[in-house]
Amino acid sequence: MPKYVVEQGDHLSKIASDHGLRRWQTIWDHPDNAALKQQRINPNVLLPGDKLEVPTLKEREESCATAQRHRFRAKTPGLVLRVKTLDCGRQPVANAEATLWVSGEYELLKTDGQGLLERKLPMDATVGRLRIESDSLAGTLDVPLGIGELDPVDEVTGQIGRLNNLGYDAGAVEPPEAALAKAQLASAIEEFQCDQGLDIDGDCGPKTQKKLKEIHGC
Amino acid sequence: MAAEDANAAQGEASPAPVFGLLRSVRGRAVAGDHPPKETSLRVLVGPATETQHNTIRPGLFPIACWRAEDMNFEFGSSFPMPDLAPGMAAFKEIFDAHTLTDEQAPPGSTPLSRTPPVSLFGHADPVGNEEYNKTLSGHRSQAIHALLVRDLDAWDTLHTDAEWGNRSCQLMLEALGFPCPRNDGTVDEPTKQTTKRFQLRHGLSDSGSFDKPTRRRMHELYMEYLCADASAKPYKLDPKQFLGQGAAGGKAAYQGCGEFNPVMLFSSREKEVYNQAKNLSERNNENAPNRRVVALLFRPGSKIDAASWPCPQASEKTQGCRKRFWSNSKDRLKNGNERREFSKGDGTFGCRFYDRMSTGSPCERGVEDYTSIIALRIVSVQEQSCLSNELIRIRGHGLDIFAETDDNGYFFRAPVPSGDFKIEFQDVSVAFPSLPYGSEAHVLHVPHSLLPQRWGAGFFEAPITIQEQEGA
Repeated sequence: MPKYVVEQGDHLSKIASDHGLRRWQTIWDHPDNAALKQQRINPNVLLPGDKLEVPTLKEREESCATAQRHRFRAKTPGLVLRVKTLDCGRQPVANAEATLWVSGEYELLKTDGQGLLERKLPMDATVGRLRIESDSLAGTLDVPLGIGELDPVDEVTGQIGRLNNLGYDAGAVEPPEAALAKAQLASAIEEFQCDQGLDIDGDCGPKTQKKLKEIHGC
Repeated sequence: MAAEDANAAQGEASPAPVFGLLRSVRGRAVAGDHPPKETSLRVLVGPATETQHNTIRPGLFPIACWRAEDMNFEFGSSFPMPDLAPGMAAFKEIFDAHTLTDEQAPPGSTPLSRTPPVSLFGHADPVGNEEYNKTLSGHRSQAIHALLVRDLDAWDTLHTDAEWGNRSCQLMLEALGFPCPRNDGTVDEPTKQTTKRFQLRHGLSDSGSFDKPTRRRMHELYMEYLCADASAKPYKLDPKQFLGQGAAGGKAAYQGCGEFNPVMLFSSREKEVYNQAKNLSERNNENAPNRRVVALLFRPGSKIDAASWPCPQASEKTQGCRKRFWSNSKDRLKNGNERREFSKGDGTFGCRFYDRMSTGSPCERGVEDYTSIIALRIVSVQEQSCLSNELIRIRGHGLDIFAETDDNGYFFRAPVPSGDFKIEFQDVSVAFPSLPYGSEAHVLHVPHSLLPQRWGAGFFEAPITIQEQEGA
């Protein structure tokens, strides 16, 4: 079978779902994907252009008596979206009312003491919207979500995405080319390094990437 | 435009950043809006497996700004000159423009939480000692803070510690309607007599000297004179309306950036020439845009943890500033082959923290970028009333703006090309010129009969002098 090429907005659960697979682990644990698995670690944070071996569906026979009704139950692992919201002073936005839309359906939620909220996702979710109201957010936070669009942290787009989420205003999520865009990203990296007590050099090297992943949560 | 093209052709300058627009230009002060942040529009997240999560935190970025130039202060001092009064009206305008209305305010908000939190940043030019520059710029931002919150103790301390001197008292007396024949700081007999008159008028013992109770009363009245809106009505802020919400030592409310964030750096050649003894005064003039106090206004309700605010207090040394410097701050603050300017995207700020907050700030463009402004005021022929909140259209030189006059009939826009523009409202169409930066607003007189409605009152009904107010 030809390899599948990851597109923007893809995450492994969606790819599995698109190929009729119940479990993303079926793809992830395929021996041909071992190298990618080691590189990316998080199956839901893939880079457009990544190549995946997607196993074909396996047939499975079950013997059943005829003229009877049978129920087959498939086990599907849950996919969740977990978001932690902080105020601009880095304190958790705790116990706040939130509305989370995914694929057009909304769910009313409440953040916990750590500012975390969680919602089960359909396997093929790509778009969403999060709205939280709290005094500590100076009113309302209302943002569209690109589910599965966060690139891996060792890619510059993944670094920009995480820095933006953390309030560092690193610029458009694309490799910066213009001098101004480069300066904006460098300033965001330096500011993050400064806040985290790392060496300040404006370069998002392995140490900074590790910290960025840790602080962002994925 | 031609100059920008030339720079681009040399391949040296980066494209100029996008700047927000000014809302008001009054006296030697400007106020305007920062451009909106686009990166906060969409959050990219990864679905979670195991214990992973995504974090969202809104960044802290200013929405508006205000800048008072060097000329608003005594040279080399933190004493605010009487000319600052129109500048304080500009501050009130931008502050009000970003205060939430009843409809916009979230439930449970208070009058104090509906206003944009303010933080003041003093700046010095790169001449002289770093610590001296930090102290002076810190004193200037503190003087403005104290003026806004009517902190008489702070002004008293500044008078003594920052050596405002007798000249400041003479200048205040003049502004309050008691002109002294000389205002060079020499307390001569006429100055003593004038002081006595002031003292008698205000129920003080007529010592004829600038003693502490006299100074305090002068400060009190002078603050009311300086810190007033466009209709000369005094206003003040609560310390809680500043970023840091009144934290000790003015943390996050006011600070001095010293010489670390110049908007303009001489070329090496210029620096050499200007440092010759005969050119020092010209050097100081050229450096004036660098000496300024900037107020940054944040989204109403924005809260920070004052303890972790990066800027050291105004009274502290430069040590704390350096922690937030760009890793290449030395290069940024270096004099180059050409003059380097913040407004051209040359990256002249050494402090990364301040640089990030000033991105696109229309208040940090060099003064020369505001050589022409539109400053209009529409009043009746008899100047008895003004046309407030009127929809106007301004056209000319490639501009076509729909806007509204403010409560006092003013409209400002900068920078604009110099030349004639046309203003249209109702069925009136009048030509008017753009003006040099720093000019008083151009006044358009319109027959009262032409505009039977919407004439605002206010401005000309309250041109009261301070003495009269005191008598009341």
